[in-house]
Amino acid sequence: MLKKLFGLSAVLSFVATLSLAGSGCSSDDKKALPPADQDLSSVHTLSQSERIYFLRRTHFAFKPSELQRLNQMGYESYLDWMLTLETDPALESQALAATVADPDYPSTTEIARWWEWLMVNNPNPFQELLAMFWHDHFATSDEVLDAQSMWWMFKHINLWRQHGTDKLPDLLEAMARDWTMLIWLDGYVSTKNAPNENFAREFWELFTLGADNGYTQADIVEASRAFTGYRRVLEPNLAGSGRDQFVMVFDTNRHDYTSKTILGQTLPGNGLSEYRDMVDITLANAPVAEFICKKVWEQFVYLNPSTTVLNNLTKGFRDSGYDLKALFKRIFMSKAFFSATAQAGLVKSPVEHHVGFIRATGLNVFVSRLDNGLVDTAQRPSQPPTVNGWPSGGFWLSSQALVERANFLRDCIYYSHESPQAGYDVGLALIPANKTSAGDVVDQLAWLLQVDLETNQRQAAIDYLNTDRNGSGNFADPWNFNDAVDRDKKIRGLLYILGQHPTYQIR
Amino acid sequence: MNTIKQTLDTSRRNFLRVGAAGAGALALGALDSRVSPLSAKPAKAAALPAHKRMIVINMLGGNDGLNTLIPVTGSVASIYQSNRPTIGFAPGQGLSLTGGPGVSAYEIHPSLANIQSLWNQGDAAFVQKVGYPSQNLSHFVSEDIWSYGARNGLASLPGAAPGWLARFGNNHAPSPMGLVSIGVGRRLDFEGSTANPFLVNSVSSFAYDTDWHYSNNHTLRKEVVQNILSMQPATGIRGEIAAAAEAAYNAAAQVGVAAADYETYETTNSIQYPLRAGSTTSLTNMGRRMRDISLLIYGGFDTSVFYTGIGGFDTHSDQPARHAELLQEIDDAIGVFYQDISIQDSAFGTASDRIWPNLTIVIISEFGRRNYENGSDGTDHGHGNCVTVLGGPVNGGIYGDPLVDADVNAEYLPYSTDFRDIYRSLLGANHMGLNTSELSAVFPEAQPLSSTINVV
Repeated sequence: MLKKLFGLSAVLSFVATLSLAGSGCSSDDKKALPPADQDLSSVHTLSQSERIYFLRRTHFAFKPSELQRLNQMGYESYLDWMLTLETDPALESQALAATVADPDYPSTTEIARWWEWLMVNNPNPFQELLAMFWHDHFATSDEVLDAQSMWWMFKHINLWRQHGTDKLPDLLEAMARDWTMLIWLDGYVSTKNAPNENFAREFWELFTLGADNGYTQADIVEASRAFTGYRRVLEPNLAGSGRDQFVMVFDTNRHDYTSKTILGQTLPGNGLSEYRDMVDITLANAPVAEFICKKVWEQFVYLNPSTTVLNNLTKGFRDSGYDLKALFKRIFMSKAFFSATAQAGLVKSPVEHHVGFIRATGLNVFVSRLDNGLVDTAQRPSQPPTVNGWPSGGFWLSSQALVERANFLRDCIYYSHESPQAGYDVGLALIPANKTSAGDVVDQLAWLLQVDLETNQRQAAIDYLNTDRNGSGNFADPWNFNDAVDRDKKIRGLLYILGQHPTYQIR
Repeated sequence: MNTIKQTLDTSRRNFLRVGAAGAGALALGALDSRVSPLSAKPAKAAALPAHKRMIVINMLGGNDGLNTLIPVTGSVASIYQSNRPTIGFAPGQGLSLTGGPGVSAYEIHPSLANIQSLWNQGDAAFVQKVGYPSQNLSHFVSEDIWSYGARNGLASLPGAAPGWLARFGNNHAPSPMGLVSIGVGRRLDFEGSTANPFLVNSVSSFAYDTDWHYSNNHTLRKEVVQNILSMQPATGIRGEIAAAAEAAYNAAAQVGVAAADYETYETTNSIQYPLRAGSTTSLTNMGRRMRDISLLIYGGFDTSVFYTGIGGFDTHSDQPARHAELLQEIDDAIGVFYQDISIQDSAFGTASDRIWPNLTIVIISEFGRRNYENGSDGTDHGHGNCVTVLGGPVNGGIYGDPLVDADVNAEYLPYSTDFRDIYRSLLGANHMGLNTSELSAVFPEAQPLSSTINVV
């Protein structure tokens, strides 16, 4: 969607503006763009700063230990590992143990904290960032689940966590048959006698094609008949657990077995397999690849890709049989991903901001603090506001959001497990022993948070280290790394200050 | 000239504080001194109680207009009931509109008792069959049309700000508090606003938390943050973020003062906004949002348009209970808000100086719902819808073409009043004071069915 921008909302399209710098032409005009933006051929060697940029963009934040791992494995092998989305049973059980009292009957809060814990602790953070991307795209909230079906949300989120790089048709079919989705968009009350249009409409509008892009209201009516048959059933003593829980079953009596006409194609009554048929008919007859590739590109590279880039990308995607793993690898290997346009930055979402701060600083923050922080910034995972997911870009940087972001930093810095009371020496943890001068400390923390300071801002930060305040005002208090109290106070303060720098809001 | 920007009458404003809240009145000077010295753009500006105000309440998801304003007479009512055997209302089940302007063809949803009271005193209007050309059944497309105030996208708004509120505010309410949104995110209605409008989740959450470990240093730290922000070159994305962050620091300081001030007034007058079921402290979403609006009015901010709302109106299933709950949440909040404003108004001798006679509330939704119920005790997306307008300036009554058999026999309720005609009425000479050409600048796109709707 074209955006005319003034004020803060300009942030949303700033990257697009950059990519058009000097041209004044539409983004479709490939000649106006520097070729590197559009170059999907593979990069060869990467500089250290390019590797850091890759981590910032795909890992919530840059973390020195992850850079080390990447350097050891080599970029391509690292990508192969990262995109495989292996599940580590030890990590999974640790996550549950840390956050959920009874996995058969989790609460809404436990579900959110479980995933947030994984975001902070998964050694492959891309797995969680990608899951969050799909969760935003196929936005489904647990607010429609009751106590006896809340456990479905594990299945739902794990669909994105474990299958986010599968073949797209498989992912779409699994999504259409996902139990939480069947509740969320009324699929479970859609029957042959009373088909419900809710899921059929969003299947195309939000999930695969975009509004009014190649389908009609008549198609929606027909599709709603294909998506019929599921029913929610209370299963007594489920799996011998001694408890009653809801499950979803496909009831042939509720399915519409008459034939349908979908996007000009005849779909005979096949029962349950019509969920897959709907996916296949849509892929074969409508520009799904374009829709998905653009969304992925805008999440990970830059806004408003040209048709040249999209055509190139979608051709490869189709030729691979819609292999998402290959698509992501191609993008992350491409020169365009490392182009100046891409590196100019995208605005961090609250999840990226919050989880990234914890990962980058290594502070041991209570998961409840993280969860509260995400509730306050309106991006609690497992609870998107609408089926359209969360807002994006500059829309995240309202006055309110900036206040909440600062408050979250304050919570992490002063009220974590490693708060001043807990005896955690943040200075010794973050500052190398040979870099303890005021200037070095500022530079070290700015590097850790990837904050780009102007010369006078750097000086202001140094001045902060040489000042303190009491009841009557500021006084000179020269920086002394060896004074443990002073070190703790001012390094925590500096994290709070640098975390509010404009460049910290950009990934 | 427009009537939005008015000069400050400090004495009357202080009278309001003293009269309504007893002690604790703050002189403007005292208030301003608490503002950060870095304040480049004070959010606090001149405001009079008589300032013209408008509140937009959005029922997100597509409110069922036919079950809000219910046809109860003649063949229209019988067709309506046969379309909705499970979820429809029979005559007498809703609240009567025979008081006030006296209408017998419709009743309103039983959850709307406070709105019925406003109707009885002539302060409520309903506009029937509201929509726009070529209705779209997508929530998001339809919301964009309402937000932009344009059916044909941005192409129909050459050179203008995309959001209709931004187009209004940039010319007629250009201060940082001129446009306020509470609890509904960054809506596209504000897109293109040049004044960093005040868009918050809630007023109470709009404050920088202190830490107690190093509280003196915390004060220093916040100053250093603002100092560093002020050093950011004003270019590009970084400059924009820095400007927004500075504005947030300034606004937080001023709103904090107003919030404390309001709390005293609220306690003194025993005002209690609706609580969540089972809670003794936590307000309903709508209750908290209407309280925040009252707080900012009481605080003397020069806000012209408040935008708020709640979601959940997409009642594809289990509609009767859910819809009743949602309408109740809105109606309860409006009931307390009206009492609250009446108390604030009791300080003013002259009607034209009061808040309520200068305030309108318009309750909208992106579309109506299907004439027929579906098989899940709900309704699917529809077209035409009714819009509710409340407030002192309102000429009570039913507006727009009445429902006829063909309307309810069809699958979709047609539209015959463009939603922009309602906004025009509220922004126009009888309320906000915009003249014809100023109105055309807010809504530049031609509207095929455009007509004059004098709800005020």
